[in-house]
Amino acid sequence: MFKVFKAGDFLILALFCIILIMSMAIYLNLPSGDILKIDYQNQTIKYSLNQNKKIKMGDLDIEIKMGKARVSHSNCKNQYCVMQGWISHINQSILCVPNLFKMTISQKIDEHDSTNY
Amino acid sequence: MLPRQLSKIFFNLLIICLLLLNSSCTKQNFYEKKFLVYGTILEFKFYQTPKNIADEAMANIIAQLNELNSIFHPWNNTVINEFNKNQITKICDDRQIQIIYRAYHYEKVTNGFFNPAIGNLIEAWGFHTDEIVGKIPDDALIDKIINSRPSLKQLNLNNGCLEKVNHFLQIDLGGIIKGYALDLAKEEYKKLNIKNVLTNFGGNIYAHGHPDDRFWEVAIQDPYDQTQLLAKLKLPPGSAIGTSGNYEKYFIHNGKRYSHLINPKNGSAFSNHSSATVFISPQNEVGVKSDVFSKPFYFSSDLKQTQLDMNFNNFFVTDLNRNIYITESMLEKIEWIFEEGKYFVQGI
Repeated sequence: MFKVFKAGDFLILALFCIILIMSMAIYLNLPSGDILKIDYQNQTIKYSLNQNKKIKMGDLDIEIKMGKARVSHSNCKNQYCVMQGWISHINQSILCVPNLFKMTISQKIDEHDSTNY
Repeated sequence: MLPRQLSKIFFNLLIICLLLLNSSCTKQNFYEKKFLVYGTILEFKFYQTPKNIADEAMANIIAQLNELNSIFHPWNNTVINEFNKNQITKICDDRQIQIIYRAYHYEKVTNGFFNPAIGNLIEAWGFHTDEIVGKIPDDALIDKIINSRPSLKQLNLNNGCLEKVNHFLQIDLGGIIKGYALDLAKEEYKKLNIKNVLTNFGGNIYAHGHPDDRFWEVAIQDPYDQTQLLAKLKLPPGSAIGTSGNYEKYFIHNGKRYSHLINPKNGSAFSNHSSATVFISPQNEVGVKSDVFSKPFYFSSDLKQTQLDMNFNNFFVTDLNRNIYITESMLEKIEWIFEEGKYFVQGI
């Protein structure tokens, strides 16, 4: 059965595992955001994440569900944006290159470095 | 066909993982640390600074702050406390005298709205404790203190030592020490050749350099609601921002809010303003100015007049009725982020 793999495949597999673990470790540490920022065809639109909403943008369907968001449908070939599933943490983003679409989770107020009080 | 399908799945997963990884790489050039120094939060945000140098700078700054506190803390067992209580009659240390003289300089610059000689007033209102108790003092006591016209002018320099002329006088540098600390930090960064760091000491912020191709950006807290933000501001390299507000240390008595900011002119802990924010463009003693210059505007009953008296333009004030009064030059720098209709912005 292992005949089907070549040495290079194991290398890719090992690399993949390392990246997977690193990504998960970082992913779990990200704080959750409360704004969904969508960049689509040269415009930026923001939605609160604290709602249930379905948005249609061209051939893309976006769904917001209490604190998280996903692309539920896309007409693109590879469907990476749909496969990525739900995002909810700050700076997480979903891209759909064929549609020139990007959505990012951010904080209530756009990032600032410090707070004066 | 199996290996082909497998590698296709792996490839897809790999791309998703890289996207995940990408989302968290945006902060890699920053090094942030937070400390609690005598009940005040001290925050640093370094940009592209070697960690060991940043650590050295922070350690040196904190050591200096601890030293300052061990001399000037108004109610702990310090030199200044002994001097205030007349347990010692002289201050002879050159550096201590120098700091007191800088405070006196700013007392004059602010026409006495920043007054480092009213420790007894602050104590009378119950703010000289770690836990705020707050008490409404006797009018007679307030009158007695105000009538003694407390000022650092009532100190004499005799043979290199400071002595009191008015024995009722108590020094409290609480209104300048945060800003002074920012100026110490600035010197430390110069000494260690640190180019880009944002320093926040108890809300007063000094911007040293800038991160990548932008300016440091700060948000200003909403004086009515500490979970919300009022505005955003970009700080050019070398500039600073400071706010005096009634929402940090206060107590409420009969529905009225009394803040630790005591008006030196009438001895009252009540102001018609809830906050005053000043922006200080790059200049000498930028930290001290960010701390001291907000006081005249916080207490002012005629903002236009205070603006002329101080010859200072970059400020805004919020009052108790959700009005914001702002100068033209400040309005150009600021971006409001409060909910529409929450405040009424007016020019001065």
